[in-house]
Amino acid sequence: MRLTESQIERYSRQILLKDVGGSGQEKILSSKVLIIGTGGLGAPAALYLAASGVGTIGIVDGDNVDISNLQRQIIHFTNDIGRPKVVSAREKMTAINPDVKVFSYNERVFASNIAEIINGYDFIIDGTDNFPAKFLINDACVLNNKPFSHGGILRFDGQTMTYVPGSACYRCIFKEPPPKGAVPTCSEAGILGPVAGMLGTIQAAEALKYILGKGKLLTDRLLIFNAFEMNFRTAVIKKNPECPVCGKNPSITSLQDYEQPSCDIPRR
Amino acid sequence: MSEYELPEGFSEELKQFENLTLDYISQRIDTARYKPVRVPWGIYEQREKGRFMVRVRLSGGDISPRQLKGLAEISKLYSDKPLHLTTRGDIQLHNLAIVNVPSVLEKLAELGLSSRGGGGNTVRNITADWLAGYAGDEVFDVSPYAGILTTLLIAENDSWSLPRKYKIAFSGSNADRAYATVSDLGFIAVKNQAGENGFRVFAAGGMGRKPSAGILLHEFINVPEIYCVAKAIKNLFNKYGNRKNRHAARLRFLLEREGKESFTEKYLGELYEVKKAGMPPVEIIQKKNTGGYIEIPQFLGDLDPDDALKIAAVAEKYGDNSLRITPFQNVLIKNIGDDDLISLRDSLKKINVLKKIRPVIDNAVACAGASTCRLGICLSRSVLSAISDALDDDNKLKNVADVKLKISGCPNSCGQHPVADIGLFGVVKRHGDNPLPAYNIVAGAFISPNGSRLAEHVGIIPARAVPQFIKEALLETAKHREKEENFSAYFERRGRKTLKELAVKFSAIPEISESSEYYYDWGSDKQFSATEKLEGECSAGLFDLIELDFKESEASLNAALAGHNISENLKKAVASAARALLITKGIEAGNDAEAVLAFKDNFLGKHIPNSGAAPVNKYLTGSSIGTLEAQNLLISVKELYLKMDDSLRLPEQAAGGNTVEAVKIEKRDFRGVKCPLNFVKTKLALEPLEAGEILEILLDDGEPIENVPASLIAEGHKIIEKTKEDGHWKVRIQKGT
Repeated sequence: MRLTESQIERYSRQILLKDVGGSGQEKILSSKVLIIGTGGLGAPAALYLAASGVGTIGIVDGDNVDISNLQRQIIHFTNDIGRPKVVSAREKMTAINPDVKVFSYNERVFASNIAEIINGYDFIIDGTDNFPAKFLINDACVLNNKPFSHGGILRFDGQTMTYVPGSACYRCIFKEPPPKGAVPTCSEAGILGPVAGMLGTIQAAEALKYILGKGKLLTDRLLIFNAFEMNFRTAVIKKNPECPVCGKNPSITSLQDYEQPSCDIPRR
Repeated sequence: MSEYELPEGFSEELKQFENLTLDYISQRIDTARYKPVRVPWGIYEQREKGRFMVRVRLSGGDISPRQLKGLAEISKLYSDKPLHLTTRGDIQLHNLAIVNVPSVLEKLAELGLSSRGGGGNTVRNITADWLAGYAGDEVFDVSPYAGILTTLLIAENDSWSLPRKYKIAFSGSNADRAYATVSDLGFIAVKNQAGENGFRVFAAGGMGRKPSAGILLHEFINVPEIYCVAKAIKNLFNKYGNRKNRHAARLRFLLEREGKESFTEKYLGELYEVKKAGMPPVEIIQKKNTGGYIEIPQFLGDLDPDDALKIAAVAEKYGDNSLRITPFQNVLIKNIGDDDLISLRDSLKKINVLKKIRPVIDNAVACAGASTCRLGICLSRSVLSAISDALDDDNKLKNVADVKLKISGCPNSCGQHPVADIGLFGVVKRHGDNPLPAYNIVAGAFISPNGSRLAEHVGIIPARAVPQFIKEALLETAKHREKEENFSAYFERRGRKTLKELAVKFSAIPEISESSEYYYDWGSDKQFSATEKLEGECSAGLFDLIELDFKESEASLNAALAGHNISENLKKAVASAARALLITKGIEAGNDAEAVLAFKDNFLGKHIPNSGAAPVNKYLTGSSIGTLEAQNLLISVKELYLKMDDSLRLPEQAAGGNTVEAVKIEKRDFRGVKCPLNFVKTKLALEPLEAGEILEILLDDGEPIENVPASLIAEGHKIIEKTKEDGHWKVRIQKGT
C-alpha cells in the first residue's frame, strides 16, 4: 500500500510522530474498528477514528436520534432528529474522511447476533449505556479473543480499561451486573456533555495505539476520572483466576442476555 | 628558530584547511565532515561546545624565546586562558572561538610553528629527554634528532592518516627520561664497541588504556638511520594496523596480534624497502649546550601569558636555543652562563616568575581531565590542587621531592600514571544507588631499557580521600625510605604493602546522607553523575561501571544461593543486572526500582528476549523471584554486553556504522515542498531504507534547511553532509535505527 499525495498531506501531522510515520499510517488505513453505540462515547470515538484514517469502521446502534441526545452526542445534528443514529453517524464520518469505509448495523447487540458482528474487526469500542450490553460485549470479546475498550460515564465521572486476550477483563473486577435499580441511569442521574467526549476520545486513542502496536495500553489498569475535581488516576487491576469468563474454570462458556437495562458505573 | 622546520607547501595546506574551517563556520559543511580534518590539525573541541584547543607541537619541548613571546601574544589576543604546557612538551592554546582559529594558525606559521599532528591518527609531537644536553649520565645530546625527524616526517602526507597515533621519543641515557621504552617508537642513546654514537631502538610500547612496554627492535643503529627506522615503522603501521577498531589500533596491538617474530619480520621487510629506495640519511649534529639551567615550575602546567612574556624576555640573552618545556609541565631556561646562574634566579624571583619551590607538587602532573576534556571522568586538575593544599608542610616532604606523582582523569594515560611513582586514574564508583568519583592508585613504575615495569595497581579510593591518602603515603615514604633508595626500590621493599594498607584505610565510602561531599568531585558544585561523560568520542571508563554492576549482581546471586537473605538478595541481583547496561543508553536510574523499570521499557523485548520478563515483572509487582530466573536474566544481559562493540553500541546500532561508499544512495527532490510536509516526505522516503543506508534530499534555503535536519537528528538519524548548492541545499542522511 502506498500513501497518495493527498493522504500524505491529510495525515501529515500524524505521520510526523516518530511512533507513527508512514508505516504506522498505513497500518491505521488498513485497520478495522467496531464501535458499539453511537451515543455519548461512540460519537467522538467515531469522528476521531474516521478523521485519523481508520480504513474500516463498523457502527452498531438500534436507536433513532432524540433531541435530548444532542447535548453530548456530537456526531448528530438538530436536523437528524428522528433518523436512525447509524445513518446520521455514517454521513458525518464519510464527510469528514471519504477514505473511510463505514459499515452500519441498525440494531442492538444481543447474545444471538454479537459474535457475528464483532467477527472480522481488529478492535472493539464499547460505547453502550447499559450494563447488560457491557457484560455481553465483555463476554463476547473474551470468548472470541477480541481486544476491546470498555468505557462508562455518569454525571462527572468516567472509567475505562482496555482488554487484550490474556489481560484482566471487565468481569475480573465486576462479577455481574448490579441488581436492577441499584445504579441510576444517565436519564435519571444526568451527564455533563464534555465528560462523554473525554472518555470517548480516550477510547479512540487506545484503539489507535493498539493498531500501531505502540505505547502502553490501559490493560490491567482501570483509568478513573472525575471532571468535577478534575482528577485522573489509574488503579492497577489483576486478572482474577476465579473470573467466571476468563478464569481457570470459567462458568460462562456461551453468551447470554441480561434483563435489566441501566447505565454506567456500578458501585463497588 | 624551532627545532623543526615547516615543509615546503605548508602554507598551501594551511590555506586549504582554513578554507574548510570557513566552510564549517558558515555552515556549508557540518561537524561530522569537519572534525576528521580538524583533529589531525591538533584542534580539539573542548567539553564546552564551540570552544577549541590548539595543540602546538614543539619537538623535544624546545622553543625559542621569540616563539614563546609570539605564543603569549596570540594567547592574549584570542584566549582568556593560560598557555598550557603538556607532558609531551607541546603548548596548548585553550578556549579559542572557531572564527579565530585560522588567524591563530597563520600566526603560528609565521613563528615557524605548527599544530599539525597535535591530535588524531598522526605522527605526534616527537619528545626528547628533558635533560638533553645537561644530564650527567647522557651518552650524547639527543634533542637535535627530535627536530630533524619531525622536519622529515611532517613533510610526508601519509603522516596524517595513520590507523592511530604514532608517538616517538628520544632518551639520552638508560634512565629513559623520555619514556622511549613505552612509546610507539623509542630511541635510547648508546655507543657501540667502536665508540660510535647510535641508538638502541624500542617499538610498540605505549600508555593509553592498556599500557605496555615496547620490545627491543635493534640493539644498535647508527645515528643516520633514525629516519629509515621511523619511516619503516610508519609504513608497517599504515599497511597492517587496525583501522576498524580505534580501541585496538595502536602499534602495540599489531604486535599483540602478529607476535614478536612476525612483527619484527614484517618490520625488517619494510626497513629493507625504505633503504632500497635510498632514503636520505640523517646528518649528525654535534651540539654544545653551555652553562646551566633553571626550571621554573608552573602549577598544573598553566603558564600565564604575562609570565611567558617575562620568561621570553629573560631568555633572549641566552640565544635561540634557550627554552624547553619539561614533562613535568614546567619551563626550563637553559644555556645560562655560569656567572649568571645565581643572579638570574634572584631576578626571576624579583619579577615574580619563579615562586616558592614546592617538593612533589612542582613535578606532579595532571591531565586536563573532565573540566575540558570530553573523555574525562574525574576533575584531575582539581584533585591535584586539593593535594597541594593538603601537603601543607613542605619541610617534611624534602626527602621525597623526587617522587613523581601523576594523575589522569580517566583510564587513558594522558597524565602518564603508568610511569608514575605514585599514579592515579579516575573511575566511576557506585555506592548504593549513587555514583561517585574515585581514583585507582598505581605505584612503583620502574623504567629501564633492560625491562620496564609499569606502575602496579594498589587500590581504589574515593576522590574525596585522595589528598589525605597522598599525604600519608608521602610521609610514610619520607620516614621509611633509605638513603639513595629510589621509589621503585622502596616500593618493592616496603611501599607496596604500606600503600595497599593505606588504600584499604581510605577506601571507605560514607552514605550520601552522612557525607554528601564524597558524591561531589573536587572543584565541582554539582553532584557527580556518570551519564554526562557519555558525550565523548570514546567511552573509556564506562566499562568499569558495567563490570561493577555485574559483580554486584553475581555477589547477590551467590549470597542467595548460599541461603542468605534469599528474597532480598535475588531482588538485588535482578536490579543490578537490569542496571548494568542502562548507561549505554544514557539512562541513569535514581534507585533500584527505577533501574528495573527503565530496563523493562528500554531493553526487554528489544535487546533482551521476553523470556527475561518474568523476574523483572516479579520485581516490580513485589512477588518472589526464582533463583533460576534471576540467574538467566543476568546471563542474557551479559550476553548482550558481549555482543556490543568497543564503542559500547548495541548490536543493532552498530549496524549503522557502515562506510558511506558501501551503500547505495536514494535521492529525492523536496525543493518547493513547505514545512513540515518536506519532513514528512523525508521520513516516508527513509522508511523503506535499512539502518545505515543513505538518503540524499534537496531542500530549500530558509525554514526547510533550518528545521528538517534538526528534526531528523531528533528522530535518531545522522546528517552526514549538508552542502549549499545554488539557492538550495543538498543533505545526506544516514538512517538511524
